[in-house]
Amino acid sequence: MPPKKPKPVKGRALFRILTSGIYTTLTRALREAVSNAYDAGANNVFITFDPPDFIKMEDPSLLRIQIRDDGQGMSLDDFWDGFASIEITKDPTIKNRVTGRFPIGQFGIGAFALTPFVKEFTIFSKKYQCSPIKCVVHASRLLGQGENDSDLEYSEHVRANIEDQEMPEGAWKTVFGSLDSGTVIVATGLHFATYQELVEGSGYLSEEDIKGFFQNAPFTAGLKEIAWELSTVLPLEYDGNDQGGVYKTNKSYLKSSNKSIRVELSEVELKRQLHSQRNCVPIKFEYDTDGVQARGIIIANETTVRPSLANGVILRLNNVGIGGYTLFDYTGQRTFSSRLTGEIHIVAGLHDSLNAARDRFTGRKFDALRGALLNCLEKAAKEEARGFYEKRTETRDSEFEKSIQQKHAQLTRQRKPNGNQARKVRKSLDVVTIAELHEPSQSQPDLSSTRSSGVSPVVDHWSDPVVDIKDATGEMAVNQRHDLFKVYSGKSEVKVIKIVLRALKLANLRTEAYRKIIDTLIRLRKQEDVE
Amino acid sequence: MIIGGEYASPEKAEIRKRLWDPAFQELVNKYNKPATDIRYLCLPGAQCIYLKHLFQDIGLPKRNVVAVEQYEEAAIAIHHALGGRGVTRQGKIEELFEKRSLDKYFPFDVVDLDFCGPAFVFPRVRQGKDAKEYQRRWQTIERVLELNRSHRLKVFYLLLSIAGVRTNAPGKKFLLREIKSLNDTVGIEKNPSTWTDARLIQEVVPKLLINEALRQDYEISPNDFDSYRYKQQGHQYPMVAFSFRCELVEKTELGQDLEWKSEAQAVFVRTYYSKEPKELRLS
Repeated sequence: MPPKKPKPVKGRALFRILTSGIYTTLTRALREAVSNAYDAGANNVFITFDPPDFIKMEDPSLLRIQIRDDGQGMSLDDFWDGFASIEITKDPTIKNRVTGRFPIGQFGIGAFALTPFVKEFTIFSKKYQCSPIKCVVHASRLLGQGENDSDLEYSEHVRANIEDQEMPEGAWKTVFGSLDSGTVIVATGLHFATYQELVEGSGYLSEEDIKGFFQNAPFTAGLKEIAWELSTVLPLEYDGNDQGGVYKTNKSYLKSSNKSIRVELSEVELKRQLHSQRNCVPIKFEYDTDGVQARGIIIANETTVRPSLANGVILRLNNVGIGGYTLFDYTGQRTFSSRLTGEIHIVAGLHDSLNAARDRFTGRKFDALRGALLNCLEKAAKEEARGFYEKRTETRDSEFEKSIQQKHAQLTRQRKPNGNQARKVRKSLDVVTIAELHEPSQSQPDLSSTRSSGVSPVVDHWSDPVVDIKDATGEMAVNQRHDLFKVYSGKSEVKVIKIVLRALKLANLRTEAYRKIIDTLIRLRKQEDVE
Repeated sequence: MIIGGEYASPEKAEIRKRLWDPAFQELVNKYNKPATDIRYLCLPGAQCIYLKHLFQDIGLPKRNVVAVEQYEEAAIAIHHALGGRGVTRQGKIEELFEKRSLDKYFPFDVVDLDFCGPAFVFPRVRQGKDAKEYQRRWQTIERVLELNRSHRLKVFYLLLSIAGVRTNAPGKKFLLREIKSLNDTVGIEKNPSTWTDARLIQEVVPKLLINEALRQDYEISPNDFDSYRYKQQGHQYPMVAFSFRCELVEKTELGQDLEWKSEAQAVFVRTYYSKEPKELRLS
């Protein structure tokens, strides 16, 4: 009796697992297509959609997506033995001798990534000194809409649903514009769900982000999502214009051993962004433990990271973003954690810890790195918090100084009134003039004695405390229960009185002088009311 | 060989310069239409030679272009050249018009029907195996006029290029009959016995077109009409290219309609037919 073994997997079922099971969004499929081009040595990839109005107006079956690259292209043998086969494994730790790059595809399953989203796609390709090829991939049939090939094993199933041919050089020149090597993939006819994703987006970008992104680009909401994700994940050049100038000053930490690729999405060149803000605090991260090496920058911004999707850290392996930005369950204060962003390059040690969809790492070594990153995030958040409080105190102090100066300037101006305004102006300025403090009817504060005695006229605690220095924030607060607020109640009056009270606190007057000023202010206000 | 044909010849370049460029220049300079607002329907071919010139030198935005191409490979090249901004429709333009697939993109300020084969020289002839094909091209032109009229577009240019050959006997008869009619109308005696097909077509087509344009209330001024017959290097047969400026005339008073149309038709035919049609010869 032969040994028992599992039933053979039907080709159609396996195909579904390898495509629909892994590539759940059109963006991921496009990312895969670019990855293939990258591994084929392409320097440029052009992804072209139809214009937004056309996408919205026309039947989804008419829409066309085109991906063209200037890589080394394929012959028919390359197509069947490499592109369409899943046996091929690329070692991401070994540089390809021809392309000079570490491969970013690994399992050879990305070739059919577009299958779940389109009805059909055609691959045109030309390799140096080989005949150009044209292969029509019947995506709908591959995923099982056909009846005849339901029992075929994987390779037969794939073979039965692809029409291949060598094509004349003129046809290649027509498609590509020259006889150089390269590949053009043209997908036609979108499934309705993909169409909706393309028009409306899948909703993970906020409306604010959608409005702010790629304003002059011919993009629908869905295309903006695609643009965002591709520019985040692909090995693109950094846009060196980050507001905080982090890229310029930290190039060595952001450099990758894998060169970048140029990607245009409907003629809009995608660039990698650092999302730093002016006055941000960049924190360098270096990790070398247990064979895992990583380095990068975590940025603590002054305000919330925009777009919010860039909040957290993105890991890069061979220069390719793995998943999206994440805070690794960092549970610090949201005010500060929302200001963190950054990029970490995995240099070594985690190449075999990646899942098939290539969107996350797993394993003990990664957990250790994750711990180190959490610590760094915490440090960045603290740094940000400290900066925040210092800045706030500085701002408030400077605002205070400014308001005092403004008041002083105002008083100086108002002391020289002219014409009919003279009397009116005089009345209002009297509120804080020193002359008022020396009214004969009131007891005069003994300012001279404090000066001469050399004793600092410090008042530690008022009998009616009006001003406190808060220890946590450094904020100087005014107690609104003070008697002054019983007579000064207008909005602008309250503002002025707060400034006056803060000024008196900083002036360190003696209690007697302080009381004198307060009483004068109350009396003048009451007098004004009577008038 | 590029699928759909190569059009980088000096003759074609000269035709673009003499007939097509003035259409855009006049829209900008005479009718104060900014280049960024000009809408353009065309059959650009895979290399998009003229489109690239328009983008670079005239400032036409890609978003204003609707390009039609029947061959898949050439349509892919055009789709790439338009970069996700302009519309590319794959299929025969005649079929797309029949299915009303292009109606939604109208109006167009310049309609450039650069056919590479014979066109509508036998517009009312229904015999022969090719009759239907030619009839459809004529209907394409009718539809262009009708759609622009439905949008009350004041001025537009119809740029037309067709092969200067006819492939059936009834076609020749038709053309000769039209020449006789033109001789009678204009009162001059042109002898077509030594003419090539290209010359016959060049003489007859404007008359057919003015009739159709007037039916849609578009007048074609004889001063703003031009045509050339030419043969491109390496091509088998000669071509004839025309440029018509169609200007909308809306008459509201009853009875005026027929009067001005017959007068406009007579003036146009008399003027163009009395001149010797041009032939492009590059030394």
